[in-house]
Amino acid sequence: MTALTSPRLSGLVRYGAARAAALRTERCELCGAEVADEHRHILDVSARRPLCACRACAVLFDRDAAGGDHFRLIPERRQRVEGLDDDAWDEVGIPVGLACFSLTADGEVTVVYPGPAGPTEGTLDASAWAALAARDGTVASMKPHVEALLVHRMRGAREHWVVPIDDCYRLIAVLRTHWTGFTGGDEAWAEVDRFFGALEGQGSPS
Amino acid sequence: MDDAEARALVERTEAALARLDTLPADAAEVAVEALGSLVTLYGEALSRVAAAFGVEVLTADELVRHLLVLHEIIPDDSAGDDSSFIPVETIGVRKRSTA
Repeated sequence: MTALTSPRLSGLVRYGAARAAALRTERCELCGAEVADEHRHILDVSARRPLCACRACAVLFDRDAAGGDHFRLIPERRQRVEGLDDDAWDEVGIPVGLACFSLTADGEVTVVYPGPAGPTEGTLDASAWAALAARDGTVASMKPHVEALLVHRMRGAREHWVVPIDDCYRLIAVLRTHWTGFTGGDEAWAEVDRFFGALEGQGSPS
Repeated sequence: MDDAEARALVERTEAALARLDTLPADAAEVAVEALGSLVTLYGEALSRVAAAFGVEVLTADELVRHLLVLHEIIPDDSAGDDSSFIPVETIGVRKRSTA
């Protein structure tokens, strides 16, 4: 009996493998160059979308002037905020469970509450933000658009971090993926805890 | 399905894939894209099965062995590989401009 042969199927397998390999190669979304697995992101400010950036584009957009109001390099610092305790939030006067605060260039403060049906959004008035910023130097030094104050005070947690803005998007995705029922379920909150646990030691990845 | 039926299925698959050549270029592109993804998916699954259970237990079966070779999970030790000289382009997407 002759061996099985299937040249057409074989061609298809190789075509599929080549396509998969091509898709795995990430490209700079500004210039199209190939990017390494570890790469920086640039925020498309108006679309609020992080774009993968090659090294050259990251260097170019590292100055605020280069990208104008449109493109800003997303910083990499992940820094725990020590200065915000329960008193600070009492003073602000809004109940904060899980929230993500970011600034516009004009100093407006946007609050995003990640939730199972996607994020909901509000604003925080400038005096409340000033009170928070006065308590912590890291919060005061946040860059508009590209950094966020991420707060997790649900279920006894007291996590406060200044993070790259795309971390907020990642957290939103985590909740969307794992949320069940009205309250999220233990699995969703375990994932959120894991997310915050992973921030530790990611202070300044390459 | 016994081995004879599996062989017949392999032949039928080859014939069906050959008919892709008769499609207009853009339809062929859609079909090849879908089929390419599908075989990659099954190949990935096969490679995970092989990793979990070892290739030795799998290679005794003619069809499984054939697919393991096809997906380059195990080397092809048969002389005169019939598929090695079929260029990817023959099954790949033809350029629209030539349609």
